[in-house]
Amino acid sequence: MTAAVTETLPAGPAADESDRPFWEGLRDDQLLLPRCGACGQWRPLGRAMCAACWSFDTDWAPVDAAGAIHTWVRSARAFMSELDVPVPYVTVLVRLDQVPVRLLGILLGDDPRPAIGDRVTGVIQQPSNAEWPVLRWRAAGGEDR
Amino acid sequence: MSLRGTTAVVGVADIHHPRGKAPGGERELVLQGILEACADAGISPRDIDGFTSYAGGDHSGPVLAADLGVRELRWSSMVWGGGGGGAAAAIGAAAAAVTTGQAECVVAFRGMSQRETGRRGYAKYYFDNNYLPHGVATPAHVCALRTQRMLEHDGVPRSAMRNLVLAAYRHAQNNPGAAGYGKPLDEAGYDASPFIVEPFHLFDCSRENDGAVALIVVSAERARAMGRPAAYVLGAAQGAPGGYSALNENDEPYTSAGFVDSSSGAGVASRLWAEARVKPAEVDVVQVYENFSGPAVASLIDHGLCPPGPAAAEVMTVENLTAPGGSLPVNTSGGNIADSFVNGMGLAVEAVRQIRGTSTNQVDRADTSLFIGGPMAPLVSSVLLGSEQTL
Repeated sequence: MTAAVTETLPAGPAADESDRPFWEGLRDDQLLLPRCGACGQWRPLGRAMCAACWSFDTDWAPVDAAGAIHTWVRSARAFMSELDVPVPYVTVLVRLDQVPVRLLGILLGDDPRPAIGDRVTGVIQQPSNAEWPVLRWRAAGGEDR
Repeated sequence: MSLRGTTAVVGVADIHHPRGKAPGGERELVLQGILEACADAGISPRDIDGFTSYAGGDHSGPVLAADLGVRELRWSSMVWGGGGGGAAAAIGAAAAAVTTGQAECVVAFRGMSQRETGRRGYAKYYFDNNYLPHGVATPAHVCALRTQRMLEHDGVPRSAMRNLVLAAYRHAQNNPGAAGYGKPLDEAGYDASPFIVEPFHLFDCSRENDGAVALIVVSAERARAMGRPAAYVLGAAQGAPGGYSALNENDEPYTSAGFVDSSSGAGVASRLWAEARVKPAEVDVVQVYENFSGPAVASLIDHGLCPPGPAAAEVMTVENLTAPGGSLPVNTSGGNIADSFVNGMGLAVEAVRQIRGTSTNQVDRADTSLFIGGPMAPLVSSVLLGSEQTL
């Protein structure tokens, strides 16, 4: 039983809109990640340019939301009153299969017991108190240590 | 050019109150700290000509210079980025200024008051839209992510974290000023404490205090002329492997505390040892910043003081970590966990006390005393202090 969450979950594009395609992608039910428009290097979210060739050109390309748990934590306290999931909750850092990028996300399921290497697949969810959808994860069975 | 032996810490102050209980404001606390450090050094506050700090405190050199009525301000620098990771770097910046003749008497300081800085768990001002939607909102979260992999993937045993905490509590029993004084902690008490962010129990987490800490840095020549016990700076380094940790969970040295690039071995730790011309095994006593116990263990590994992986268990016993008899005495005041926390700078003062021989958990003979700043931060730093015999 959790109290109704009325505050807005801070999901959505950064103030400079540089990552807007990622969030638009989630609205279209796909995972789009940044890739250098000049040299093709994939890069994590949050970086302003290509650290391999210093180009600002960016393509946003679809990627399979599947990977393995690189690490995880279980939050035992309600640090954020606006979070729409009950405490305790598990956050995983997922190493994607298709591209060399790691993404954070909440691991769904009833009392999940994650282990590093466990296979997970992405689930795009629209929290009722967020303006934008968020990428979350679900155990896929199997492991990839 | 090197910092080795060119400067010394000649005065210190370590004021702390329970969180939210400081009688005055933060600026007043900082000024009190500086006055106490000046008195400890036997100098006039008017002699200060430089200020260094870290973690973005509000009290700049020009403001403090005016408050103190210094004759001339020659140096004012803030370590850029890394929060508590910059603690030792602030001392390094003071030493660099004095070594190069930019200034003569620099105070490295930090002040905190809950009423003004409002340091609560939820760091909404820091974490961005790649973190907050996933419930990752505090320093505990990002340190826990790296620590969990250090435990589960690298095989560092949880006992390493627990024993670091238990040793700190042992030390606190001899330090009447420590929050943990009179409150001994054993293994069962640690294990029974609730999780905050797993893998961190309550006792793995640092405290939070109101307070001010200040260290006065002058040239080694002047320190000798002052005829007081001085802690000479043998080496100082700051930085991080490129791309480490800065709002980015994609860096390669993921379970490093930031002091070494695991692929090349380069980094803050190796630069520190090279400058100081000291080997890890030659260090007599260590103060390691524990925002959380796990990152502190990673710091000891990064500095070559503890082996990585399962072998960490051999070094990280309570006996080894406890002064005076241990082979690696760590956090001899009780540290951030069992003594007090003013953004970790109190540890630097304890490092100086060990050289002076005035710790409440004094090691037999401390000629080399290491202070490691905040780990798993986007920028980290260390400083090695030494007695006159090491010069």
